[in-house]
Amino acid sequence: MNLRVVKFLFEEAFISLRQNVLMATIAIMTISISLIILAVFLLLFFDINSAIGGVSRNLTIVTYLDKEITSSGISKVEEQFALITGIKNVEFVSKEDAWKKMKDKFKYQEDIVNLVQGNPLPDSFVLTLESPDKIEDVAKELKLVEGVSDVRFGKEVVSKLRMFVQVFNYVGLSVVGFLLLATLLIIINTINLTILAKKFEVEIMKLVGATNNFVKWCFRIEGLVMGFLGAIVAIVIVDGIFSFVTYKIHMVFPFISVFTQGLSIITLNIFLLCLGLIIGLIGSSISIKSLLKSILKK
Amino acid sequence: MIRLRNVTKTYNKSFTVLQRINLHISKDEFVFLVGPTGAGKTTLIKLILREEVPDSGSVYIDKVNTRDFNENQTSKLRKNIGVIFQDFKVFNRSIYENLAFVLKIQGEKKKIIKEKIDTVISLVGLEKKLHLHPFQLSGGEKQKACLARAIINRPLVLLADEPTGNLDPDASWEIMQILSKINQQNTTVVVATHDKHIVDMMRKRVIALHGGNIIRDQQLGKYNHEP
Repeated sequence: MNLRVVKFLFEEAFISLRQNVLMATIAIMTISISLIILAVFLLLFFDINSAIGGVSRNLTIVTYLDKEITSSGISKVEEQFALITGIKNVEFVSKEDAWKKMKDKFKYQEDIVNLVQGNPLPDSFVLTLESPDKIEDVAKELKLVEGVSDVRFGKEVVSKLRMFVQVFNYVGLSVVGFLLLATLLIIINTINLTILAKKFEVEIMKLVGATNNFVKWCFRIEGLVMGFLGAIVAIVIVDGIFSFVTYKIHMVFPFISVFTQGLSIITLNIFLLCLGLIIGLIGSSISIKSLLKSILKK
Repeated sequence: MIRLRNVTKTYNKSFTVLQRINLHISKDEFVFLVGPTGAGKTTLIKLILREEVPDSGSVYIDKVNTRDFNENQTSKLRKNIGVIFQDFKVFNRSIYENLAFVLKIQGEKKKIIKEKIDTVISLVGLEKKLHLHPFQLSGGEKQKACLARAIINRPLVLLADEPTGNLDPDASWEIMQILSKINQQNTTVVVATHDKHIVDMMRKRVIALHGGNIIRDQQLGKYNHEP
């Protein structure tokens, strides 16, 4: 197939789209709407996951030591911590420093601090982990170390965040999956109707020497063009929404950065374009397989 | 050019359209296929075009048996066989686009497409109607456009299935004159028709079919006077 034939195939696809302009517009808009919803979901998905990742990465474990622990005991505890895998950083906070921080925190409520006789706070270690995923396992090991009286971390925060991300991902992916399926079915239907409408033309094509492949590529390219146009419309709208929303959020909350983590808008545009083309190609290929079989058997 | 050997064609395993047909049509010949409806004329044309495959026997085009042709070979064969029908079969586009389509699917250059279209359109006399659409043409003009499309690749064989079936006598005669001109340019022409008047006037070889058999194969002699 030479370049002139490929060019001709594209011309034929555009002629066909022009002849069935209403059907083609519906199919293109359906692809656009599905891709827009997918894009919005992906932007939120990456941003929320990134934000949650940030929160999780900043989670620390505080281990409180026995009140009567000696300095050699503190050293032994620290040595034991070094043997536990998954700990990135260990910071000792003496009971004096803790008490000072406490007083600084409540410097405008001195009465509260004055109610307390002496320093009730124990020595402690603030531990940063390599990964937040094993925070519960590490906490369990820390509890077993001699000299440790209590271990505290944001267990509920972690589990709630995980739960939220899971639900968000499952629901979002299901919605996107159904939308893509609906889009695919609409493309199949559109190409089916085009093939039926062009049955007579396909017969003529065959009579004047068009190969089955030529006829098939006519419809495949039609699907590709619909997918391409749908993706372009989606990209324009998503880019517009993206610019508008980020601008508005920056105006109101200049310290918050949204849609800047994980997924760049260029990557998203390329992804949408590829997905549009794939949906168009798969949809038209399925139609061709089922409908052209009877027409092309000769 | 065209040879059929013991060709039998049956539809739905019970309705035999052609029975053990043996036939030879030489290069540059002009042949009429005549016979009543259901005699097997259209089936014979479809077999030559390889739109149908015989149940038994073989069809040879230019000494090549087309029986086991694959899709690509069939496509190549059809570039060497032009065909026109009673119901015209044209795209709903301008005549120029209809003609260009045949060449564009072969990847021809614009310049060559234009040259070839100019040649065939003057042969059928539609120069002034080249950019009109089928709905703007008479039946005779549509059939001329189909003829132009059928011969644009300078085919070895031109098949015409009831080409004058929807035309008035004047238009029919014009079509026959063009077919005769095409035949004189070294194209074998096979015409299936009911039109006895035209067959009588043209004085060509006549193959008569009846009930799936050839009942007559005769070269008509020339008239003493022009029609």
